[in-house]
Amino acid sequence: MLMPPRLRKFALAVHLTCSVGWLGAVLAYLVLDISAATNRDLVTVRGAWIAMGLVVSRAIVPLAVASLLTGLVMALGTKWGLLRHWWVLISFVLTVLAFLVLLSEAGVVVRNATVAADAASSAEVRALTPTLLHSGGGLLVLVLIQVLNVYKPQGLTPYGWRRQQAERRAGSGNRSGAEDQRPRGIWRALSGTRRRP
Amino acid sequence: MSDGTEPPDEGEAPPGMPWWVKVIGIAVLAILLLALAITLIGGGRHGPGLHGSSAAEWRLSSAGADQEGGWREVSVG
Repeated sequence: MLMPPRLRKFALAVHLTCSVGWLGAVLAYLVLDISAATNRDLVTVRGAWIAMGLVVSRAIVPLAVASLLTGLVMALGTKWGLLRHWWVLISFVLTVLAFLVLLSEAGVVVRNATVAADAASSAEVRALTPTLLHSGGGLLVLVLIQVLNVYKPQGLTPYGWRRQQAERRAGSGNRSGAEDQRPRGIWRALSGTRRRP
Repeated sequence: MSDGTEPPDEGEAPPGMPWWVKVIGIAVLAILLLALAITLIGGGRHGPGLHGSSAAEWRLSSAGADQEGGWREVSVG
């Protein structure tokens, strides 16, 4: 079901906010992660881990969920579709992969943040291993998704091509196709469109 | 992030897979295989397990070789 233009604009604004917010939150997390990996000051490392736990649980995971859901709404609610164009499909697959890796890591980061906050000895804080590979890799994947979404490189999937051909055939002659474009139900009543006798 | 602009008309011929899709697919596959290899070689310690006690042992042992430039303990409060 295609969204009307005003709803589509609103959904796009929400989706953009969530997606760019996710990317920004991961960038902030990466800065903290590098700090935890390279800094020798115990208070700084402890603080970095506590902040990493908060950023993951309060910003990255909620934004990732919202970005995934609003992305689905945008794909399914517009003519682009979810499976018709390679850039949409690749973006969706990469987002799901990034989300799954995030979910597997989030619990560990929050647990490490708790350890860092409650650790009685500095050895416990020192023992926490940074997550640079995942945060750096995640950031690269999110940047790649953003690039795909901005440039929208051409390319129909086989499914998208079949749908396009079917829509062409359906729209090439019969009047019933044109009738389907008219508003229905309550929209027909509100706009005053009357059914043809 | 479909923004409501109209998708392009792709013509009559069935489309092949674009080069950039192949590049991304190979890169993703390589990363997944690398993660699988690390998991198998490391005895299943890739992922969350890497950040647990087993990794901590490595971190502590490597830190032991760096006693001089080691950590500074700073009291809080």
